[in-house]
Amino acid sequence: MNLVLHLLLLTLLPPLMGGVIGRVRALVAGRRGPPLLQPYYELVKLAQKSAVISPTTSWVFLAGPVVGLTTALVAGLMLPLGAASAPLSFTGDLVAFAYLLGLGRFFTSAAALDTGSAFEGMGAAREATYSALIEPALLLGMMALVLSTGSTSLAALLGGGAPSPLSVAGAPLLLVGVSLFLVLLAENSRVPFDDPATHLELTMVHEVMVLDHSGPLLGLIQYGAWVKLTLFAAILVRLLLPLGWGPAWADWALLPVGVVVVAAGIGAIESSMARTRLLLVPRMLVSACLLSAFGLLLLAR
Amino acid sequence: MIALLAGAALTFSGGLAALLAGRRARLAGALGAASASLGGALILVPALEVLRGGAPLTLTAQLGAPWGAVSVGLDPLSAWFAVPLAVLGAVGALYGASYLPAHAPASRTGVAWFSYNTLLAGMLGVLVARDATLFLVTWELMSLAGWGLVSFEHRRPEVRRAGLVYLAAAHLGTALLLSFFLVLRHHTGESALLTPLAVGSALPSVLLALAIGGFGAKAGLIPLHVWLPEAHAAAPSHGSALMSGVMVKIGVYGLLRAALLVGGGPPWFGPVLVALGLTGALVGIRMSITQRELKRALALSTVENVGLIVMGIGLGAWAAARGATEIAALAYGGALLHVWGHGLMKGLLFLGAGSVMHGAHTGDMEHLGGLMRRMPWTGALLALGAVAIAGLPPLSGFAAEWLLYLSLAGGGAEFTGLTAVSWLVVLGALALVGGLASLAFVRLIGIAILGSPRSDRAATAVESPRGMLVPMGALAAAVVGLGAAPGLAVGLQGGVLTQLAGPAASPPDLSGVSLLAAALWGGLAVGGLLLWALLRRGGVRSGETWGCGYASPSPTMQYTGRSLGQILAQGVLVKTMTRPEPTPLHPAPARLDDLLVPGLLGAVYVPTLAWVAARFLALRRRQAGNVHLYLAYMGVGLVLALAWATLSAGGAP
Repeated sequence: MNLVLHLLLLTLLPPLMGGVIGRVRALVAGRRGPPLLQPYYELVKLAQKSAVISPTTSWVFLAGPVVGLTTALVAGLMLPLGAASAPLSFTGDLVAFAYLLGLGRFFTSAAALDTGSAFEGMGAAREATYSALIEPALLLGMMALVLSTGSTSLAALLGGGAPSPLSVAGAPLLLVGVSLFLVLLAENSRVPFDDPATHLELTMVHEVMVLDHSGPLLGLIQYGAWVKLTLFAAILVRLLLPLGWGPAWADWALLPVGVVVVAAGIGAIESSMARTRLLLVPRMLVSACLLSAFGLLLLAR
Repeated sequence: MIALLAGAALTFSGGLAALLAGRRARLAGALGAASASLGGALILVPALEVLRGGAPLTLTAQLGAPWGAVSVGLDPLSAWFAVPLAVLGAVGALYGASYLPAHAPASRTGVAWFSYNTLLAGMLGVLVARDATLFLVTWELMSLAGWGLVSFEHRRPEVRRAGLVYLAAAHLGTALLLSFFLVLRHHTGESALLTPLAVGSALPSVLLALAIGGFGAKAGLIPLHVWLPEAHAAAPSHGSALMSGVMVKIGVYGLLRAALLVGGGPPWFGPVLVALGLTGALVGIRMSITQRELKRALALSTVENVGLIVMGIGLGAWAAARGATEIAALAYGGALLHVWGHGLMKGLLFLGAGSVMHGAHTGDMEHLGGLMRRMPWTGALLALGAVAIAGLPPLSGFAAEWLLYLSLAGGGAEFTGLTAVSWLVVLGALALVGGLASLAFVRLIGIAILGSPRSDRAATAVESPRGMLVPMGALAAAVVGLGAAPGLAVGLQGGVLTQLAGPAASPPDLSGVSLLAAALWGGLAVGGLLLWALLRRGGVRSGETWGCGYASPSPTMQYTGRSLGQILAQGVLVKTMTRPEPTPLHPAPARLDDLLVPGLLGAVYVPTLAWVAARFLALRRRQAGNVHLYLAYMGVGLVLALAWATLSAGGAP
C-alpha cells in the first residue's frame, strides 16, 4: 500500500509543479494562463509524436533522456514521501542520491555533445561546470542534516516521527534550507540561474542542451526535469514542515500540498526576477556552498 | 608461494626470451604476451587464496654471498595489491599482442616486451619482498623497466624528455628510500620489512617523512607528480595502463607498508596524507580538464585518483589514531577498493585511448570526434570507463567514493572541534573533486568520441581488431561487476583491514550499493524499452542537427575540448608563440600554442635541478680523466683510511 502510494506520488505529481509554476507566472503577469494540467497534456502529445534524429548522433543521444529520467525516478525511491520510509533506503543513500543526479547530468551533457552542435556544446560546458559547484552545496547541506540527526540515510534524515531536525537545530537548518533552495533553482535550471522559457540559444543552459531532442525523447526529458524538481521540492517540504504528528494520511497529504506551495514560490520568484548574467552564476553557487558550510559549522561539535 | 614465484619467474624469463628473440617480432610478441598472461594467472591464484583467509605465505632462502638471506612473503596487504597487478598485467599483455605490431618497428618489439614483463615481475617482487635488499633491488628493476616503456618511442624528442623526467623522479625517490632503509638499519639493526618498531622516539616521524617522499614520488603524490603526465602519455598504451593502473599503486603500497612498520605513525601522519592527497586530487583533475592529449588527460586523472586513495589512507590513519576503528575501516576500505577499481577503470581507459590512436592515428582530441559511429565498440567501452571513473553509480568507481563519504560523515559527526570541521571541509572538497571529474570525463568522451569528426583522420577511422577489443571488454565486464557487487571485493578486505586498523575492524557493508546498482540497471532497461516502444509507434525521421538556421555548418564549429573547459580554465592557458631563429636557408615554421602556464616542472624543478647541475659541473675539474690525478686520489684516500683505522683502534680500550 505504502509502496503504491509512493510510486503514484512520484510518477503523477511532478508535472503538476509545472502547471502551478505556469499558472502563477500567468496570474502575476495578468493573464489567465494555461490549464493546471497543461504539462500532462504536453507529455501525452509528445509521446505520440515522431522523433527527428540527427545522423551525427549515436546511441548516447538516445541514452541521455532515458538515463536522466531513470536516475531521477530511482533517486525518488530513496526519499521518504509520506508516512512510510522510502522504498529504497540504506545507510549512506544520501551520497547515492547526489551521485545519481550526477549520472543524469553526465548523460544529458554527453547527449548534447553527441549532436555536434556548437550551441549544445556550450550548454553542456555550462551545465557540467555549474554542477561541479552544485554538488558540494548539496552534499554539505545534506551533511548538516546528518549532523543534526546522526544518520546518513535520507529516510531517517527526512522521515519525520522523532523530533524533526528543524526543532533540534533551527537556525543552522534554515541556512541549509536556503542553500538547498538555491540548489533546487540551479539544478533545475530555474530563474535566476537559467530561464526555461528563453528563446535565445546563446543565453540558455539546460534548454540549449535538449534543442535536438524531439517527440518522445523531449517528453522523457521534460518529465525527468519535473521529477527532479519535485524531488528537491519534497526535500524542502520534509525539512521545513512538521511530520509524523498527525495521522498517516496527513503525512501523505502534506507532501503534495507542500510541493504545490514550493512551486508557487518558484513561480513568484520567476515573475519577479530577471535571470542573472551567466558569469554571476558560479558566485551564487559558491554562496550556496558557503551557506551550507556555515550551517555545518554551527552544528559541528 | 611456489605458484607465485613461478608466475614471477615465468613472466620475467618470458620477457628475457622476447628480448633474445630480437627482430623476430612475432615470436617475441608471442613469448612476451603468453608468459605475462600465464604468469598473471599464476599470481592471481595464491593472492586470492590469501585474501580469502588462507595463511600468509613466507619463504626464506639462504643464497650465500653476495645475496645473503632472501625472504619473501605474501600477506593480505601484498595480496590485495597483487590482484590488480595480475589482472591488468595479463589483460594488458593480451592487448599488447595486437597493439604493438602496428605501433612498433619489428626491431624494438623484443625490448618492449622485455620492459613490460620486467615491470610486471619487478612490481610483484616489491610486493613480496620482506627484506630491504630484495625490496630495493626489485624497486629499481621496476623503475628501470618503466623507463624502458616510457622511452619506447625514443626517436621523438618529447619522449626522450619524458624519459629523462621519469628517470630523475624515479632516482630521487629511490634515493629517499635508500635513506629510509639506512635509517631503519642504523637505529634497529633490522632490515626486515615486517617487524614493527618499538614506537616512542622521533624515529617514526623521520621514517615516515622519508617514505612519503620516496613512495610518494612513485605514486605521483603532489608535488612529486610532475613526471606522471609526461611518462604515462609516452609509453605504449598497454604499458601506460600498467603504469597508471598498477605501478603508481605500488607507491601507495610502500606507504602503507612503512606505516605498518612504525605501528600507525605519529599524529601528524594522517592529516598530512589527507592534505597531500586532497590537494593532489584537486590539482590533478583541474589540470586534466585543460589537456588536449587523451593520454595526458588520463594520466592527470591518475594523479587525482591516487590523491583520493592517499586521502583515504590518511583518513584511516587519522581515525585509527583517535581510536575510531569503524570510521578507519570505512576510510581504509574505500581507499583499498579504489586501488582495485581505479586499476580496472584506468586500465580500460588507457587501452581505449590506445585503440583510438590505433584507429584514428592521433590522440589529440581536437582532431577526433565522431568515433562512436566509426569505432562503436571502442567508443562504448571508453564511455563506460569514463562514467566509471567519474565515480558515478552503478559502476566500479562509485562504491569507493561512497565509502570515503561515509567515513567523512562519520568522522564529522563523531569527532569534535577542529578535527570535525576539517573532516567536513574535506567532504565538501571531495564533492567538488567528484563534480570536476564528471566535467573532465564528459569532456573527454564528448569531444573525442561523440559529435562529428574534427579531422580527416577521425573521419576515416576504423574499428580496432578483436584482439584489442576483447581485453578491453574483459576489463569493462570487471568494471560493471565491481560496481554491481562491490561487497564481494570488500568481503576480501578483512585481513588487510585487520593489519591496518586492528583486529576490531571489519569490512563495511555494501549491500545498499548493490541494491542501488540493481535498481538502476533495472530502471535503465525499463526506460530503454519504453523509449524503444514509443519510437517504434511514433516513427523516427532523420534530420540534420539544428544549426540555428545557419546554412553551411561545418564540424569545426563544434564545441572544442578547450572551450568546454574554458569556464574553469580562464587565466590558466596562455598563448605562446614559438618563432625559431630565422636561418638563412630553410626557416622552420613558427607555431602558436595554447600552453599551460609552466607548472611545477618548468617553474621549480627544472631551474633547481639546473642550478644543482651547474654546481656539479665545477666538480668536473677534479675528474679530468688524468690517470695520475686518479692515482693521487687513491693514494690520499688510502692514507686517510689508514689514519682513521689507526686512530679509532687507538681510541678503543
